[in-house]
Amino acid sequence: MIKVRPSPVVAVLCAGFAMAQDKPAPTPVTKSPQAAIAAAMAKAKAHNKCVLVVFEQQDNKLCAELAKTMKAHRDLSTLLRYEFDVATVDATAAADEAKARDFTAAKEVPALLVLSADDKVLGKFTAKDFVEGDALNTASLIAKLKELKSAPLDAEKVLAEGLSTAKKTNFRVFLRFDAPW
Amino acid sequence: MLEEFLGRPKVAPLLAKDYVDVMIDTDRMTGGKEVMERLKGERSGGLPWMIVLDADGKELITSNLEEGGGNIGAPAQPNEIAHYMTMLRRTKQHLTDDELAVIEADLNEFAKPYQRPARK
Repeated sequence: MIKVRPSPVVAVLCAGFAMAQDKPAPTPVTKSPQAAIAAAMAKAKAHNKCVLVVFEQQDNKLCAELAKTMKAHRDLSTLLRYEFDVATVDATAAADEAKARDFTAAKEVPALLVLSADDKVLGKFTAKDFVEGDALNTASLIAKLKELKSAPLDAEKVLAEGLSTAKKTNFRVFLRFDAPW
Repeated sequence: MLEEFLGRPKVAPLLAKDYVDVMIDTDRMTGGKEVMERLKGERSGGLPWMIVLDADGKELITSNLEEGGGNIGAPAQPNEIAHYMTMLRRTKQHLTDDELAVIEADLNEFAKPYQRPARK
């Protein structure tokens, strides 16, 4: 099908919660930061979302807490599912990706970079922005990410654009209604 | 699940021969629910719900079964896959029967993990 791509926008995330875990579970870190970011960007472009790049390091307790919170915290996980495509990268391996976006502080893990679907830097956060003491401040993280999320598209305009494309190409419109959940 | 299937390498280029793919997110888009209510009317079913329109916006077929009226959603069960293929057969303009067979075979393979065991 011909994809009608909505214009890109940005997103949200975060919060605080202290989880005392003696030995944090290893966090999944991709071996290919460039590929992970590119894949997230392609998905974000198709859905009018933002990209959240999470810079991590294996065996870092806060990184493990953040990874766990991103999945388990209801508001944060919902915000991420609705508004962001997430790419988790190893901070050392992704040094070039960070440098290219003027985010050398990404080595202070966990660090977060919010990008538009066309690779514009929208926000940069290091641990000091969403950590209090030795615990995540999830509420603060969510607030910061919400400020960056994409503006919603107008469904009538999206449909009109699809019909206009169909008219020009003598195609049919295969219209799907769906939701992120 | 539906989005994943539509993006599969065997399927996406074939569907692109006949259709403009438009997805309306009823939760994230302004007016998404209203557009769906207008097109769906009194018909039953949740999400995903699908409709094929001609270029003037005229309804050609929907994801509601002709028998019983239920919405097939993301097609996984044999009767749902059959109706999805009916949607394509009735509205295609360029796709060949061989290409439709490729789509159907790929959907059958993709849907296997989601299928309920057949009742005895």
